[in-house]
Amino acid sequence: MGINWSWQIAELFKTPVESLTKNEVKVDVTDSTINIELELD
Amino acid sequence: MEKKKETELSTFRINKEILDKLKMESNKNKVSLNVLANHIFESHVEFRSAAQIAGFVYVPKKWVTEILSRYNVKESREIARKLSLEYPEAICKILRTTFTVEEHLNALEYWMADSHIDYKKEVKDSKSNMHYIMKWE
Repeated sequence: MGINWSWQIAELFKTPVESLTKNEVKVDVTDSTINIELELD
Repeated sequence: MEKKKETELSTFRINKEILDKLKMESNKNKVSLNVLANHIFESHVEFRSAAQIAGFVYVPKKWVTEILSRYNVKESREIARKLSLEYPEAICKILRTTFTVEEHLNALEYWMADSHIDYKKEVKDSKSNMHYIMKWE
């Protein structure tokens, strides 16, 4: 669906979780895959 | 192991035409009518009703993709960041009154399921370490 679409989804995880936890959310984005690693503690 | 959710028997009178269509869908997807009905109720209660209040609308993916293709990656990420600070909090506050990471991730999972975005979730060594993987053509 394209790299810009992938970033829309990735940021839905990254921005709010980083804002709430202050931990970095690692994202790896291509035009057909998204990998997201979260640490909540 | 996840605790089995408590259930209660309830009876509904449903328009026959709608019921026939639901039966066809359950046959096609090889799930019972009970499973399909529960999925519809759960999706409504846990996501759709709040999404409607928060201003979500249905538009074709192709429409969104076309609009986004007019932006470069940097611009597109700026839009995503701005909206990602507004909408998740609004959705969580409508659904559960508070905005926490767990509730946000739970709402996102309902949104992805409702949007037919296939994802895999892995919980690593501790419950607080998670990995989400999404893939499409």
